[in-house]
Amino acid sequence: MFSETFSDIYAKRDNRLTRMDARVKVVLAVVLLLLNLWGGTALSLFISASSLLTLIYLRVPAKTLLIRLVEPFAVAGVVILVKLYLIGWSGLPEGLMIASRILGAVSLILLLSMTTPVDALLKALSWFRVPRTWTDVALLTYRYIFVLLEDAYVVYSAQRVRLGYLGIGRSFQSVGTLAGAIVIRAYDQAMATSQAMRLRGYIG
Amino acid sequence: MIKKIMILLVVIALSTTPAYAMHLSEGILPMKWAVIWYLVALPFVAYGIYKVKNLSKEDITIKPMLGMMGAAVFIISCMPVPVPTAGTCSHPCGTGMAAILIGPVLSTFVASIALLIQALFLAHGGITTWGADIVSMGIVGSFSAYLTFKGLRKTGLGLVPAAFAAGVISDWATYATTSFELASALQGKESFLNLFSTILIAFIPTQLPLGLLEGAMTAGMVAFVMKRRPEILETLGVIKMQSAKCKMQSVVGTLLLIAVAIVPLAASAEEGKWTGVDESVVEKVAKEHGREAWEPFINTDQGDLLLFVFLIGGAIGGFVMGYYWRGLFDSTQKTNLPQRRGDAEKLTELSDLHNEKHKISV
Repeated sequence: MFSETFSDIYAKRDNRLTRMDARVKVVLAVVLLLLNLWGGTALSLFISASSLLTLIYLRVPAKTLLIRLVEPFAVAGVVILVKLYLIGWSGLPEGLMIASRILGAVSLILLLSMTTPVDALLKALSWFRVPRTWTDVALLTYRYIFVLLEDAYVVYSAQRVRLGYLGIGRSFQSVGTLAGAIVIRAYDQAMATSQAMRLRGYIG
Repeated sequence: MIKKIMILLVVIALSTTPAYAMHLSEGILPMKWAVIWYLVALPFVAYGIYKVKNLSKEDITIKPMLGMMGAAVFIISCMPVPVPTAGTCSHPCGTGMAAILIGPVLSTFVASIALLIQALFLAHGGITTWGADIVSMGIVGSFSAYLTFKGLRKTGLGLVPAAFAAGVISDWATYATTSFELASALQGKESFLNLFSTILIAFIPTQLPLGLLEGAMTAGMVAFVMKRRPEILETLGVIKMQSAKCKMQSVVGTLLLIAVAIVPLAASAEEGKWTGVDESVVEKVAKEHGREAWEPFINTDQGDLLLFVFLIGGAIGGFVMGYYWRGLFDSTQKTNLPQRRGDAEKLTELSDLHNEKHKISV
């Protein structure tokens, strides 16, 4: 149920980009991100338009793309308005440049995340000498986000049914309880996981 | 002037749209600042990796534990929390909570992972702003929460109020750092202070109450875990459980201290400052009725004889208490206490006596 929250459900599809080696995609993404930061407004807008058109070509729903782009659009709007407020109309080109940079970078990251599964990405990072300690914990984190999300949803639903979110005070109390329940569940799951891993030959 | 005020109000209004905690959006930082924040964050993350590597050699549960904590931080930072003043929802940081549970260094390590996953798959934050987000949420958020929590606990403040303060300080410190990062990156022709204060003011409607909410959530979490599973907090080093033995020792120690404090008072009484009830009431009334007090049969009121008697008594009592100490104050220890006979034994003995008396053989 919660997998739709994550962009990488589209990475499980079969297309030219998902078949490409993850290491190549990581290198391309980093290079284009740097170009996006260095280049001007025109280059950033070009990167943004190319990435979004590619995603539409890969049949990613436009609604999903718009939802993901709401926050960057809002941030870009705030930046333009702050520049206008402090400098006046002469601040508009600078504001637009920053806004285009934001859009370009977000579109690029969306393209990367929607064409590369997490395990392939982390494997690629390991190949680039990112410490195994970090990638191991990252994989475990990603794996168990969904498990904990299910548990959190169960607790949240139970609280809602018992009117736990009626009124602000009660809502805060329920949120604290929910956070505590997540922590307890995470701890218990960690102990069970490490035992299961040990039984299967894991030595750290 | 009116135009400027209107623009400022719009900025504040736009800032109250669902603000995804304090993540800096992808691409917002220019190259120079992106690299600087990466360089600031790198040593902390590197030290975190080093620490995890060493810890996992001794305890293989460390990596799964950190993975779970990372997942918990991720989920908590995605939880929509209603912000009353903004009329919308926002998201707490979660790193303050993690710092209380696993310490600031490991919390920074875990935050780096959670932030990357959020950047890639939820479009919260970014790759170029990853370093800056680690600095604000991971480093500043974790260390401020940890230091606040530990500092307040050392002053004797309770677990829940200390957790509340830590959550609030962590959130506000993160928000101030993010404002600083934004202002330093976006500064053009305007002055840095102007820009910094504008951004700070723009975020106040959401971030000020959100800090209090995060404090309440952190306090609620700690209270819930303390109530249901206090051993988790003890295992993670958040609290130290006092055993019954330690508590009894501290009570006895307190009583001894009080006893020691009373000795000078008793000494001053001997000098005549304070007279006892025996002399001031009992002997006085007896004298009035023609009954004089006799000399004691064993008169210890000779030099230090009384003190010597007390010393012998104290030594004997101390030896007896020491011999039976464990049995009296620590029920998990094997005891050498004289055991009372159980009811079954008594009944058997009575039955045997009865049988013997009436010469019944069983």
